[in-house]
Amino acid sequence: MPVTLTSLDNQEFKVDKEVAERSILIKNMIEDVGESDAPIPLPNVSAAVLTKVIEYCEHHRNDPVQVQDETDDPRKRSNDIEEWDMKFMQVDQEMLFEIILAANYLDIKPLLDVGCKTVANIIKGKTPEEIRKAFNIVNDFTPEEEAQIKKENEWAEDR
Amino acid sequence: MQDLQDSSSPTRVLDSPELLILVARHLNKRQVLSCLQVCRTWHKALISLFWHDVFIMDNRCPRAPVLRKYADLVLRLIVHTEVFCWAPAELQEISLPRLQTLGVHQWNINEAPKELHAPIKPLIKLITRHQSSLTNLGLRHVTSQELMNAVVGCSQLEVLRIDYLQLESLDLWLQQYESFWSRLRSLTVGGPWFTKLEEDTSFTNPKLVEMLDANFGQSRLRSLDIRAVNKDILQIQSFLIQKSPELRDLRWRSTAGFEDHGTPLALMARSIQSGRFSQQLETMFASGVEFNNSDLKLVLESLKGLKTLDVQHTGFNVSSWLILKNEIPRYMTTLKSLSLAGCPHLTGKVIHDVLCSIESLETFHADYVKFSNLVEDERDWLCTGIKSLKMAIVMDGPQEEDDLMVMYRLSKLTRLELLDMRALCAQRTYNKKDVSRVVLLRGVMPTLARGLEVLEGLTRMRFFGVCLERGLGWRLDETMWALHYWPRLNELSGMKFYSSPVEICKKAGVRLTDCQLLL
Repeated sequence: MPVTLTSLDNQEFKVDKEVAERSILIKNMIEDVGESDAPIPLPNVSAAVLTKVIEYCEHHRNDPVQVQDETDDPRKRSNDIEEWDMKFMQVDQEMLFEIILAANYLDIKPLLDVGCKTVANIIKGKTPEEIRKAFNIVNDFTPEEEAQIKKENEWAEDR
Repeated sequence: MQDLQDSSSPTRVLDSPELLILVARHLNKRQVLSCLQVCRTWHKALISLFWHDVFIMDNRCPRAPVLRKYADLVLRLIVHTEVFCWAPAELQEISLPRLQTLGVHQWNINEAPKELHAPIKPLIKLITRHQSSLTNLGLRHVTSQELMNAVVGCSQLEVLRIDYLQLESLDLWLQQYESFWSRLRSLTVGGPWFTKLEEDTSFTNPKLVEMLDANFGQSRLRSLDIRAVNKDILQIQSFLIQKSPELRDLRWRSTAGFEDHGTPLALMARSIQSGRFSQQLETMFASGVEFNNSDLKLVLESLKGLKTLDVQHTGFNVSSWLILKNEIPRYMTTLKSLSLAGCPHLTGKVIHDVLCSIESLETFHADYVKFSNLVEDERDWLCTGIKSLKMAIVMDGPQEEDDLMVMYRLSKLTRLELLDMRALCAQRTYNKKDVSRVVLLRGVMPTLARGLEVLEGLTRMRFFGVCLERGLGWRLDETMWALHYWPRLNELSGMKFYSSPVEICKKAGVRLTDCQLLL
């Protein structure tokens, strides 16, 4: 049975229920409302982003539900991104962050994860100045603060 | 300017502490440190994540005032030090109210003062101060009865790794069973320094064992890894296994069977037959154990959910493999990890058959693999989803076609992340006679040189090791190969190569300039 989703800019998307329910938010909404033909409004997601999100959910429609793995052990966490996901994430920075926000809002954990990994990959190997440049961030530390942070953390450098 | 940026999606993500933390969880310590220095928002969001783990090596330690300032944030403290009493004073005094995990690895205990108790006093105090919060404790090269008293006083402890368990008396161990040992979720006793119990311990008395079984409650253990070096330890091990209905992960490390007990696998088979062992293991490790195939069959048949089987350095042979493949076929679609390293009775044919038969395999380890006549057996490897493959390929003479077949098959493994073909060199047990076999490895190198193109698809590779350092000196063509492919090898996403080009040249006894000229 298809479900209709309405984007921020009032565009309607018909998708299989199974695909839509990759989003925990939508899944809960459907469960709360029960069987209904009424479109589900998603006032935080634009049509362009929703198109991408649906593309992701279509591709992963048969994935097993992720077991919540709250392990804090960094060795157990995998940093690699599936090949398809990697290609899927080859978008401009604006879209990358839009996808992360949408995944967060729609509660699609694996998509949020892939998005965060992609951002982490941008950060890897960069100095603080290079990170600022990559994301257009203004350095608002005073020189004293900068010196203090350096001093407090020198034990962790060069690892 | 700031206002304009506020509405953009990058800012909405990068200003959100929750999302920043999700990103930073994929970064290592040094990368998080870089993030801390980006701006105030990032600093505020990530400072607690940064201080969750404190890893101290080479006595590089946060200064006392800094450590005190962030003490509330520290959840895990790992210390690598020569001897703990020489560790920075800051560490010896500190109190970390939320500390859950403590790992102490002393690596130069031989240099420590003779009186064994003296150097670990500060460590005992450190553990004692954190008894109420510690859930996870790992101690290497550290022990004493006094220390054990501090350890068993950790009321919340769930995971204990220790390599030298001081057992002064069995009575004491039993006294602590209900309050401590039975509450652990994971116990690893790994080292070779087990104290020897007195010969005449109560555990060797079967009637007493029965009595113990009846009088002691169940344990919560999920994971048990004990090196049984004598009968008494074997008994403690069996006792713990029988008392642990939730056991999922069992590692036998006994090096030999013990008279009137048999090998661990035989013991296990007997326990299964008598209905005393019914836990559904997910991981079984039976290293260094001689076994007969009927025991193996019985054990493997009874384990319905086994995903990891490690039988390295055992007598696992062709018949064992055929039992697994033909008589318990469900393993062909469920087994995720298999180690057959150091099994001397295996042939390249069996290894090839394993790779052609177990569809679900993600990790496979076998060393000394002699492939021959691969050309005749045209089957492709079935386990294309394999992620980690470790084996030293030893070619049977200069059969280039076989070499290329291996390369071709490797190229089909689309998810391979770790390819390590150095295993043979690492085998210190190979004697001089085997050197001639090692030499045969030379055939692989030129093949690799040609075969690297077929590895082109392996963009995900994290580690790629070939048998370069084998102390036999290098031929010039090998050196050239390594140098020629150096940029490509490095390109494969940050994998570690064995050494740098300069080191390679040094080993080969050639000057870098000579090689460059030849290239």
